[in-house]
Amino acid sequence: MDRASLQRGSGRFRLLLLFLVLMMSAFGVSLMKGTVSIRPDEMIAAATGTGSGLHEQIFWNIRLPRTITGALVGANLAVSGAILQGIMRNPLADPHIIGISSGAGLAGVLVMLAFPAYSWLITPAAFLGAMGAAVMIYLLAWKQGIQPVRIILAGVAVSAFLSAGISALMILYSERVHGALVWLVGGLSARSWPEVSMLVPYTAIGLILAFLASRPLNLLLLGDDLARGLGLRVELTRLAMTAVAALLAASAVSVAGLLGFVGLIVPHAARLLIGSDYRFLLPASALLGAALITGSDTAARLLFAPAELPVGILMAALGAPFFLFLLRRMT
Amino acid sequence: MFSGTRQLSVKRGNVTVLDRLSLTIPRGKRLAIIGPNGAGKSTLLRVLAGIDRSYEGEVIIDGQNLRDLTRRQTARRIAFLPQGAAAPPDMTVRQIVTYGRYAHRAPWAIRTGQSDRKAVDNALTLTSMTDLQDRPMGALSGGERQRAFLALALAQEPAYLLLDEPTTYLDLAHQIAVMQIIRDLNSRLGMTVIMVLHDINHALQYADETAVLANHTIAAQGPSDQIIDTSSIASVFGVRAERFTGSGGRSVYVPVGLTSKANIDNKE
Repeated sequence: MDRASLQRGSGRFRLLLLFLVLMMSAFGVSLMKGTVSIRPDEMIAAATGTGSGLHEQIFWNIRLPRTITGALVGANLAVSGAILQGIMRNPLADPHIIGISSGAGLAGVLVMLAFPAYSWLITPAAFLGAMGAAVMIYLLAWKQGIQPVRIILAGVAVSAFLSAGISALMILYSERVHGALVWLVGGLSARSWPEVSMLVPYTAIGLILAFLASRPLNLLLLGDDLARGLGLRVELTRLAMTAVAALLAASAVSVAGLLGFVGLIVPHAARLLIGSDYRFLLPASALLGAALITGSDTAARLLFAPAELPVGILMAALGAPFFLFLLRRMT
Repeated sequence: MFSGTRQLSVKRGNVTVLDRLSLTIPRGKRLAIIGPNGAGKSTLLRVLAGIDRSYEGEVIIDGQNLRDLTRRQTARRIAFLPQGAAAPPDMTVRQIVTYGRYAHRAPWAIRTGQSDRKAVDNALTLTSMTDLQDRPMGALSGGERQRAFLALALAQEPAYLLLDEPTTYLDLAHQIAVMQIIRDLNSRLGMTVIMVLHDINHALQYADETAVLANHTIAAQGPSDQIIDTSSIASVFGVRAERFTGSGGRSVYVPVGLTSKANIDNKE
């Protein structure tokens, strides 16, 4: 290998390192800031079990699990979006916009309201809902291949249909609706260790599968015909990667509700900074997604303190203008 | 060993694209496929490449039925360059060319092996892209980009190279450069080349054999200089052409107008 390609390679590794530092900083700030501020030294004391009881309580039972949840949710949504944008060959693909999250949401709300005793079913149900929505979008959008605009239109239609389902469920079970409502807005308040342990296995499986598929994902960027000619089983890859994207989005939705636009903003920013090679794009998206959600959640906690804004509202406020910007640039 | 098609038919809904077409692929030679727009040239090429499998009849490659080969086996034997291939503009030439090795190693393999690197180096040399290998695709001219895609196909180390109008959108100098590379590949490596061409003179100059696709089937196939003449150009394309003799006695055809039949069709 010559020097130029080595430099480019190490440049991208350096960027990944920078993103890691960024993520850790957001993580650290999120641990320290809130209604009760904890200084770094107090935090270390609390972490090692020598701090004040209040600080230990806040650190171990509130901030740490909440921050971990936020980081995992952010990474999952961002990687899910990065995968979807590649396989649908569409810069606007995002689990929230094209209705995959709504599928997960509908299934989640159904379990939550109709079968409240089986709350462990929420994540598997959300996965099935997300996958069902993805398949529905494909079937609606398929016409001699996949066309970017058709996917978005099909996604909007599917999303509206599923949202109607969610509304119907909420009216049918109006006496239990409050919990579902808070969940649907998309937030991280009161998320603790149970949510972390629910997320970790799905995240691990999803991210490992995604990273292993970097090369096939890269091949898909060359177009279906070229990819097929190079030996890729295009339909199989698309189906498998849709499942991985749905799994990641569904696990995020099942603990944090309908958090929009993370899967849209983060992969775009990552692509601008590190390029479209999936071997780098996926880890970059994961790190930046984690940083964005932990950072935004901290901001949402502080903006109107002591009142807390759900981070989903903040993300929508950031993401909607970005979506419009992309749309303008695309056409 | 036979390579070619037997009774190949392709339908799109109720529309017949190819009708019981039988083509013999001359091994180790350059075969041009010519014909008017909508004759099914691209479809035929996609079927031969194993990209499009919704056909009836048989496609045989070296005596083996194409349907019996997996995608990866096909990719190690046949390279296909579609028309207007595109790549992410920030990816480098070398990275794109490395994808030609996909079918030669495990899909999840992270590292490139010795033999893969050699094949990529070779492909870059054959297309004179070695000096440009670290350029991003977006920074290349049209001709350079087409050479990069040609290198990608060569990295597959195929026995068959299938090209769909490889000179579209290129200026004259780049057209000739690309066609000369293709001729070299064939004469030096013995690679069988099948190319859809829209320039009759390219077929005459760069193809040993020409197959004329008209009315959904092969109307004629044989040595290019025997197949292409003023009467075949008139009947296939509806164009009146004049023949000139270039240096070395080679024929060159210049279209001068539409045949009377085509004229009448036009007025309707």
